[in-house]
Amino acid sequence: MTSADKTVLILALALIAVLYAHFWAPAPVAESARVSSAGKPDLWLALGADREVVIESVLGPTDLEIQDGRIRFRCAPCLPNGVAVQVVGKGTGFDAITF
Amino acid sequence: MPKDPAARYYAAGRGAAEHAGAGVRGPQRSKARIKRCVWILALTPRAMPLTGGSKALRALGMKNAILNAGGDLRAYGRRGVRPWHIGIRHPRAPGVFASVEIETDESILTSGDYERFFIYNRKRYHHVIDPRTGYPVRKAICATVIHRSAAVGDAPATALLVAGPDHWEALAQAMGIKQAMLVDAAGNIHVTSKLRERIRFHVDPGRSIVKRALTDDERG
Repeated sequence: MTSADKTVLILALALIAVLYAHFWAPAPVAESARVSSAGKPDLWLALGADREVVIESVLGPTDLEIQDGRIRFRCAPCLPNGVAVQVVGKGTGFDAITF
Repeated sequence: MPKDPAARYYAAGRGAAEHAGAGVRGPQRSKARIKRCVWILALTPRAMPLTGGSKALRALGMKNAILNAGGDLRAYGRRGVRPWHIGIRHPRAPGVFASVEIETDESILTSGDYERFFIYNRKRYHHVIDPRTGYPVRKAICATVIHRSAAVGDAPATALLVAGPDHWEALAQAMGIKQAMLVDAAGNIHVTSKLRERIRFHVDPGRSIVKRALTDDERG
């Protein structure tokens, strides 16, 4: 094996490591969810604790369920009820931004 | 866009100033008048949902929350084991230029010239009018106030923006605001000593931070 072969082998191994980290690394875990309801201030919910949250909105109450770090609509009267949920990770490092 | 937005601004600004009794020829120095204006301004759409919303959420048993009303925030409780971490938007660039950790039950309120504006003849026309001139505020571009009460803090943020770098300290003192920050039109950051103790800047501090902080005597 020549030095060139070794160089190619090392580069290939390094590339495999980089690609593995890029494509197969564990996905970042969401920490919170921002719930927007028509005409009301945004509500930030931590996803660390399992619970149900009821949001009053245009057409009536919307039930949100937080379980195992996930949030989902459990029950809503109809669409469009004006409720939107945005799952937020560690991205900005800020819980909210004033402007 | 109207043919002469500057003239429309002046007419609207002058009318609003006269309606508020502030006058357009020189600042009002009466403490009583300042307080009255503050209470008028406190009835803004952004302050009310913060105050009422936090009470409603507490009544529902929510022990930790941030309420966001158009960029004005009220936070209570904590985010797990740490305080809420709030960013302050950069007035002239994407992202934030400072941040602060909000302790239990505080409001952080910002007023600036970058959310509602248009450019006409290379001048920025925004929604905060200086009652002394009838035109949009020119000497400052954003102001932030931290206060336990959202209703009290919302109005001073706008008032400090109008007061500008020359008068903001005196006005903050008159209104009893101890934690405030102002960015002037040149980009200098003015901050009270009380807020300076806890704020974290994400821009190169360099020469941009002006330590014209209120002294203990000034704060009263």
